[in-house]
Amino acid sequence: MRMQISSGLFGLVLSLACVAGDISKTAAPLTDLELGRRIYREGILSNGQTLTAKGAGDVALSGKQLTCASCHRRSGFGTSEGSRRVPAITGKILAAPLTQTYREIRGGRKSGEGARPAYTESALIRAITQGFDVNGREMDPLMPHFMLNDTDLKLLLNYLNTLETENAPGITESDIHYATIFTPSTTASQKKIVLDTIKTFFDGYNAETRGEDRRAKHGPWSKAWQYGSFRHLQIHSWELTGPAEQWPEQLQKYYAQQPVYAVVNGVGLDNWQPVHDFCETREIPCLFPTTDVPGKSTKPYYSVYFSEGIALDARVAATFLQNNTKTASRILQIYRAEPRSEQAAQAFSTAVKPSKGTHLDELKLAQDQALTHELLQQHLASSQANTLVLWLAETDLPAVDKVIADTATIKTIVVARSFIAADTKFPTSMQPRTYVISPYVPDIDMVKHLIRYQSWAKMHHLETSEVRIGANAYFASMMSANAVRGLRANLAREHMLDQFEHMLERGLFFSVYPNFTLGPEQRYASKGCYVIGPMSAQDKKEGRYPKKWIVPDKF
Amino acid sequence: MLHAHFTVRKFLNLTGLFALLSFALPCLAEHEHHHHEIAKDTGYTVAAAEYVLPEIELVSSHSTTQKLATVMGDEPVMLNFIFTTCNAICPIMAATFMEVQKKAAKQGIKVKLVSVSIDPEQDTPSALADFARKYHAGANWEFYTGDKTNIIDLQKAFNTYRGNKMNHIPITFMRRNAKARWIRVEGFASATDLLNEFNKVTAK
Repeated sequence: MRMQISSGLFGLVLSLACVAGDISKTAAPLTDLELGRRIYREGILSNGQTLTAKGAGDVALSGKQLTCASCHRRSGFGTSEGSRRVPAITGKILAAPLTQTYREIRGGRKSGEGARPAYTESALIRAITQGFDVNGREMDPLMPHFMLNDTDLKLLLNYLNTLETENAPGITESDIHYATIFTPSTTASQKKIVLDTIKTFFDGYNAETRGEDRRAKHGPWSKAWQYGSFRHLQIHSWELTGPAEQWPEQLQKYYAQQPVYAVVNGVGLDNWQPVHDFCETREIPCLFPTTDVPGKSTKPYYSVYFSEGIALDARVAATFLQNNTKTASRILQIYRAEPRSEQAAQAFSTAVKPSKGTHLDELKLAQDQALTHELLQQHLASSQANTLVLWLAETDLPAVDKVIADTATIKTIVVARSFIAADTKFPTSMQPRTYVISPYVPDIDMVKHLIRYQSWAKMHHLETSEVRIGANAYFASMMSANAVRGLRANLAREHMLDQFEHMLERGLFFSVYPNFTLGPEQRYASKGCYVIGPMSAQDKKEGRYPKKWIVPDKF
Repeated sequence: MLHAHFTVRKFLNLTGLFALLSFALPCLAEHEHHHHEIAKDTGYTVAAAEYVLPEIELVSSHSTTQKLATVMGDEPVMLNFIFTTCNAICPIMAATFMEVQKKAAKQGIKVKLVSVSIDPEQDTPSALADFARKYHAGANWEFYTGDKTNIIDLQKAFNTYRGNKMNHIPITFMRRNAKARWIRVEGFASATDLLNEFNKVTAK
């Protein structure tokens, strides 16, 4: 039976109908639930004004700085920072008494840190507005005293009751279902690598913990919290076909056939937007897809990416060139009419635009047009560029070589590892002036960096020819499995995302990226790129590449 | 190196048991009650310490690069560590500095406020500038980020480094000038508390 905090107290519909009508005359009035959610997540009261509060004794706060969700999280399951614990406040949890736990008894704590009777509506209102808990004790100064009128309090309490639903879709008594998604541009070999990797990892996870479901059922009561969340992991492959406009319908269909708890990895190198939109609207976590063009939306919550993709490369290139002001005054960027290259060029021109004294020219090649040295020479003459930025593949480099060999005017060439194959040897003329933007660990260090993945894949006879595809799938499977394990008995999707935000910094695995961090509401794990410079004679002797890690500011 | 005043603190610092502070706090408060400095019923502790500042550079919210020694200056200063996506502790700490700023201006107290991000890759200068606007930071309240390793060195110098940024704890540091010792205020002190402590520091 599920208890409601304030059952029978929602004679609100009438009073709210007029309030809601005031806020939005044109749009449909918000429902009670939406109004409550807006207070909780955005700190906006039912009359459209900003929530206010007093915190830490004498500090005036507003919903612009702090909302319920910022501490208690969208999930309602709370968080912890350092020694500070923010408790779970879902209606279901508040309406039940908290008794001393086995751990607390064993820890020798007499009172039981969190032990309390069930919250009544009036006790909860006192907690929110005056900062006293149901035991009458003053709460941690972290909890502000919120100024809310009766209407808003009731809306908020009503919303808390909706926070913890029964199991999320895709979860059964025994299984958690995940999907991995491939867009049509994904090759058959890439699909195979991803599917084999995830399946192998999940199989290992399911086998290794085979006893846990029995422990959950028959183990001592004191262990229920530890094993209650255990489920077998299942993976489903969703292959998209045809033009992108048709993908949403295909995604709906797949989801209707087999609802999934979350999307794990998948590949869509040149378009991920429709999948992003699907996950954000359906509120399905979409965890670490391999893509160069992550989807965009205002404040994405359910999509977590390795990095911002090709746009990050472009912003790093702009930052690097602007720091080298001596050489960056006249830039010619060359790109091709294909989605990744176009997005790079667009992000680059946005990033360099605000800087003074930089002149930017562009050369856009048609999709099947080769870069010839005549074409390049012609554009160099008209643009008088001293810097080349190339969002092109290694096959275009011979033309550059031919021109560079004859001219001293080009001082700096910037290319991106995202377009150029790992084993590319630059023509001699380019070598002393070429900088490679690399979101990944430099190729020379990659084997060492991925040794755990490589050994694991070899042990299971998995293909490792495309290291980024394979290592990303491995990383995403491991994160998904570990996050669920950390959830204990609460399998809400938002709570799983909370886990992600916390677990990355203590992770041991980084896939092909050198450096990961996430935090509350952060959705891009890797935030910079290396700029790998030309080797000096000394560097060559010692076999190392001079590299600099650059984290660009937002432009 | 850090030389703490009280034996209890010294023990904590030496053993690096700060993660256990939550459990230690009640007994700590009881213990230090016999001494002085601990404000009754407020749950924060005060200790004096000497920290050796590393020779590093920081980047301000205006994208200017400055030496740490220049940032801290030779005038009265208060320092805290924050990050802009932090959801529990930092909003309160930032709001407390906002209140300190307001109260100090009203009372004619001269104090420079410095907030340093412990999530430097996420907190670029413009992210810090947004955060500063959110808390109505004036000219005397500066925000800094920097190279990841430098920021770790800085936290280590102030004995606040906890590995994972989510493990951070609320601490405010203050000192009178470059030669003076730092005062470490640990816990949620209100703006009034901080200014009281600050007035003691500057009156010395």
